[in-house]
Formats: sequence, structure tokens, C-alpha cells
Amino acid sequence: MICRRGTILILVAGITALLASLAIAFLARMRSDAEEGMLLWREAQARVMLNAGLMYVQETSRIGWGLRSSGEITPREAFGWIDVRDGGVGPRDVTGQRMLATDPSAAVNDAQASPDGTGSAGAYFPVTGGRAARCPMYVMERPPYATAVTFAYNPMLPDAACTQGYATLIRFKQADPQPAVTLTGDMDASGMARFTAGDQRPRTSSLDLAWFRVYRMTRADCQAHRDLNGRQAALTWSPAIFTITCGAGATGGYRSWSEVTDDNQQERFNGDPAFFAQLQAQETRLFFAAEWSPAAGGNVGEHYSDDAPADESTMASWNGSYRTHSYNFGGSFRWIERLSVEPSNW
Amino acid sequence: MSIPRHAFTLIELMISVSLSLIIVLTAMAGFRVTAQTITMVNRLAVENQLLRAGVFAGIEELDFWTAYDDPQDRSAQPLRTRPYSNPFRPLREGDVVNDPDALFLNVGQHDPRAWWRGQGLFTKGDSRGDYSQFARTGHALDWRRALPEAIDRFDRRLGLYGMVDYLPGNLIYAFYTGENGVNSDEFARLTNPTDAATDLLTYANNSGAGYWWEKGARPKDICTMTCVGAITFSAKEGVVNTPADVNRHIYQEEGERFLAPGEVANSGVAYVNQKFTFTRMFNDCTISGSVALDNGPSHWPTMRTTVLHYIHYTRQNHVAAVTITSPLTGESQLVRFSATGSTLRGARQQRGLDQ
Repeated sequence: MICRRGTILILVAGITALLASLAIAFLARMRSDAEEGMLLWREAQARVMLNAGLMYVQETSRIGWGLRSSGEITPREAFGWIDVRDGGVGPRDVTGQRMLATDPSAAVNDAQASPDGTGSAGAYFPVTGGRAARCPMYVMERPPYATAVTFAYNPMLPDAACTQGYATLIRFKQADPQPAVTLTGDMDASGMARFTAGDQRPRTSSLDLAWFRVYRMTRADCQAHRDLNGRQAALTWSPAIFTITCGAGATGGYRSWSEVTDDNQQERFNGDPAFFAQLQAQETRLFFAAEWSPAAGGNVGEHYSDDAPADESTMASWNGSYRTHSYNFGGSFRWIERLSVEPSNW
Repeated sequence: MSIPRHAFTLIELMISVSLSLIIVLTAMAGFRVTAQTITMVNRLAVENQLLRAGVFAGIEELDFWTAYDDPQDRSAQPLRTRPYSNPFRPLREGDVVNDPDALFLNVGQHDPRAWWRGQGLFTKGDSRGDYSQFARTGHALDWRRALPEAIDRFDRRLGLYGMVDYLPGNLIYAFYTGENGVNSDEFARLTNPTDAATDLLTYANNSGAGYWWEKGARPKDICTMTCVGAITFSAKEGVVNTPADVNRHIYQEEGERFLAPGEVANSGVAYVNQKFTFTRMFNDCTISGSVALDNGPSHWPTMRTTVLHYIHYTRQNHVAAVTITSPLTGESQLVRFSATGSTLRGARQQRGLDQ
């Protein structure tokens, strides 16, 4: 009788098990790292939303609002959250008329239509104390008036000795910047229409990543402000103080399930409050307050400024595609404050 | 009749031993490589964790300014009690009235008190008139004195950074004092108050960069301090920050350009982009540094986070830098980022200093 023993098999199996356990530990470590990295990624996403929220406040202060009338939306310029002409509460139009049906500083209990005249479910932004503007963010396939991201339309030729002369080396034959759509000429009406309209479909990879909300604070909200030690530290109220909530997650900026149901958006979350709660638990939320000012900041030296520090210089070079304007025509911010605790209203 | 075999033949044994040896050696080599890989990965993971922790620490510091003023530790509030320029001094402590308007906290742009009235051109002498008649400190009319006095007040009490932070974003930081135009030392206050020889006038004239004004004969005209320069806190990349370095940067009276990454700080180099450093706000303030894992093994990487707040061309810049250094290889990694976060006034509100 031949008797074979499984020594080698046992040896190989043991070593394989050892390697497998090492691999599993490695994968677990990587997963842990990835989860921690995700936290940082969400933090970064949420902070990007702060910039978006601040810009929203600036743009809506003066660029204005589209008012719906007879099915048409008419853009109307506004004159700031605090009207620079007389200090009245904005937004108001060029004639000084309020863009809302009633005083935007009225209490939330006043039945108040939304700014475009279509809302009916109580007060909406920008009424002080009204329901916050909810802005889920995504990237469009091609935004309206998009310019191409070509870095250098007129690159300098590699001719250190300048044998071809400066006129050849440094030239501006190509317009800079150029539209992201191809135009066949100045009279390309179709191309211009595409350029103007853009392709506003959201890129699916950018959906449900981040959002922000803007809430216009009331006197009571400012009174309830707390310092880092948790003590009440009232803010001096003005109608231009906003709570900006920045989120990174897939709730779309809905604060509660009741908000979801108010907007009839249950199907977005499979009609499942528990699923919504899970999304809420996974997302990052940062709370800021900021006060807008009609003062348009800027310098007197350069109309277009490249004043970013060295470490930010790539964002503000003199290249036409990246040139930034030195004035804030949408106003500026007196202050921005990261709130240490979640406010009651946002 | 065959003889039953109770053992391997020698050849079988040799083959099996050889095969086993090969397998074991291969496995050992694999194990060794795997162990090394895991060690390396662990090290990278630690570095990544430190980097993440550093970025979080930087963000926290950008938002809450606790390195400058710790609301829970009175001994860590150096910017409240200096003889001058205290950006974290409670504003109403010793101020005139408990009135936000009087403190210029909420004066809107529609309010005539917020309108700057000065000579809009750089000029010498009084060929274009005496604009101090329009607005100056001590003027009989409230709306003609409010803004000059606000500039003066915020500069004296909070320092340059605080002045720029609190006052309207479109303001030209210049004002007239006295009944007959500008006193000869008008803007001397806007610099190192302990050394009148290094005032902004001297600085500005020395810079030769286009932003200067005259000192001496009256009346003085506009001081275009809208190029209020880099009010810095930290030294620059590539420079080891010590308190002395920091103080040199934040206290030096001459302009210095903001260096490119890797450049060595060197006072007196050519001016580029007027990245000036004339600040006193953060004098005596130590760097916002945090070294994680103080109790970790000595061979683990170290992390340092520094935060920089400065104003340039009336714009605020908030920059954080996270440096990871390996004590084994000496290799350093630097992540630098800027972020929008709490402004000085926001940080003061976090501490209830404007109550």
C-alpha cells in the first residue's frame, strides 16, 4: 500500500493562507484609507460650495432676477440687498419697485410668493426668514458662452536667438480666448446660437455631489448667534446677512424629508425616508454666515489685476483666457464666519 | 512478487525536496516582497493620514483662527492687549458708545458717512486745492468726519489688517487730519508706531513702485493705500519659520516681493508686482504650527501646518501649507492651498468681540 502524506500540500496551503491574509489586511487598510480620503474629498467639495454660495449672493444682488409674467421670464436688474441708492431693503428694480409682492424684510408668516411669482408654499428666499434657496450643483456639458480651455493660442516659437524677429516670435494671430464651439465666421448664426445656449445637460458624473443653500437671516436669527464657547453673541442685524450651508452629498440640499415631500420629490429618493436619512448621515455640511456689502472692492492701479500671490499665479495670469477682473461688481462681503454650531434656521 | 514500498525512492525524495525548496524559497521571496510592500504602504498610509490631518488642521485654522487667538485660553490671546494694533481686542472696550453705527460696523454705501472725499489724483502741493475741507477728522459735520475717524480708529485699535477688514471694500485708505489739511505725520501712524522713522511714507517713497505720497509740506493729497500690501503672518515657502523670521517679515518696513516657490527670502530684492510686506498686525505672533503625533515613533514622518492671512490690493488671501517630512530620508512634501473661510471680523464674531 502506498502511503502519501500531504506535507507539500499543507505547506503550500499554509503559505497561501498567509499571503491571502496579508492581502486582505492590505485591502482593508486601503479601504480605510479610501474612506478617510472620502471625508477630505467631501470637505473640499463642501468648501467649493462656499464660494458658489457667496457668488450666488453677489450675482443675485445686482444681476437681478428673472420675473415671470405671462409665461415669459424677463430678467430685471436689481440694486443690491441693501439698495445703494437709498438704503432700502432689496432686491428692487431700477425704478425702486420691490421685486417681490411685499417687503422682503417682512416676517416669514406673511404669505409670500416666490420671487418669480409662481411659488405659493409660504415665504421663499430672498424674503428674510423665508425658505432657503436650495442649489444642487452639477457641471453642464457645455455652459452658455463657454470658452475653450486651450492654454496658449499663440505660443511663442522656440527661437532663443530671435532670428525670426520679435514680430514673428510674439504674435497674436489667434483670438484669445475662443468659444468652445466651432464657429465658421462672424455670420455663423447657428454657431452663435449654440455658443449662446450651450449644452446645459448635466454631466452625470457630476450629479449629486454637492449643493448649497442660502438663507436670509432675521433679527431673531442674528440674536441667536453663538460664539465658539457656546455663549449667545448677537450679530448686528442687517437685511444683507445670509446663512450659507455648504453640503457634499446626495441629498440635493434638502434639509428634511418634509421638504422633500413639500416639493413632491420623493421619487428622487425612492420614496424612502430611511434612504434619505442614510444619505444625510453620509454627507458633509458646513455652516457659514456672511454679510454682503454694496461696496465694489478693487484696486486703483490695474483695471485687470494679476495680483494673486505666487502660489496662486496660475489663476490670474495676464493670459487673456485667465484674466480676472479686479472689481467686484456684485458687491463684496463685510465678513464671512464659519459657524461652530448648526443654526436653527438654514 | 513485488516488494512493497514503504518509502520514497531517493530520486523521488530529491525531486520532492527540490520542489519543496523552490516553493518555499519562492514563497519566502514573495512574503518578503509583500512584507516590504506592506511596510512601504503603511508608511505611505501614515504620510497620507498626516497629510489629510494637516489639511483638516489648516482648514480648521483658516476658519477659526485659534492660533492667533484661542478663545478658551487667555494665555494664548496675544493680539488683544498690546499697546497698539490689537486685531482681537474687543471693539467696544473703551470705545465711545454702544452703537454699531458709531463704530462704523454697518454703515451702508448709501450713507453719506461712507463716502470717501479726497483728492483723486496723486499730486504734490495744493495746486488742486485743499480737500481736507471736504472731509477730515474732527470736522464739524458728522458725515464729513465719520469715515476719516473710522479709518483712524480701526487702524489704531485693530491695526492695518483690521482696518481693511472692517471698512468698506471700495475704500481708499487715506484721510485728512486737522483743520488745514494733512499734518506732516498723518500717515506715520499707519506703520510701526514705535519707530517714526520707518513709517509708511518712508517706505512708500523708497519703494519707487508707483504708490507713494509725500511727506513734509502741506497739504498732503491722496495716499493711495488701496495697495495695502501683503499683511503676512508666515514666512514663505522654502524658509524655515522661526519667530524671528516671522517678525522680520511682518515687521519690516520695506517692501519685499512675494517669493516664488523654492526661492530664498532675501530682503531688498527687486520688487515684483508690489507684493509688499508692511504690516504690524501679527507682530509677536507665533506661527500656526501643529506637529501631529507628538508621541509617535521617532522614525515616523512629521507634519507641520502653517496658515497665512494677508491682504493685497484690498483683497484677502488665506493660504495654508502642510509640510510632511520624513526623518529617515529627509524628503519633504508640501501641499499648499488657499481657501475662502472666516474673515478677521468673522473670527472676532466667533469670539463675541463686537458685542
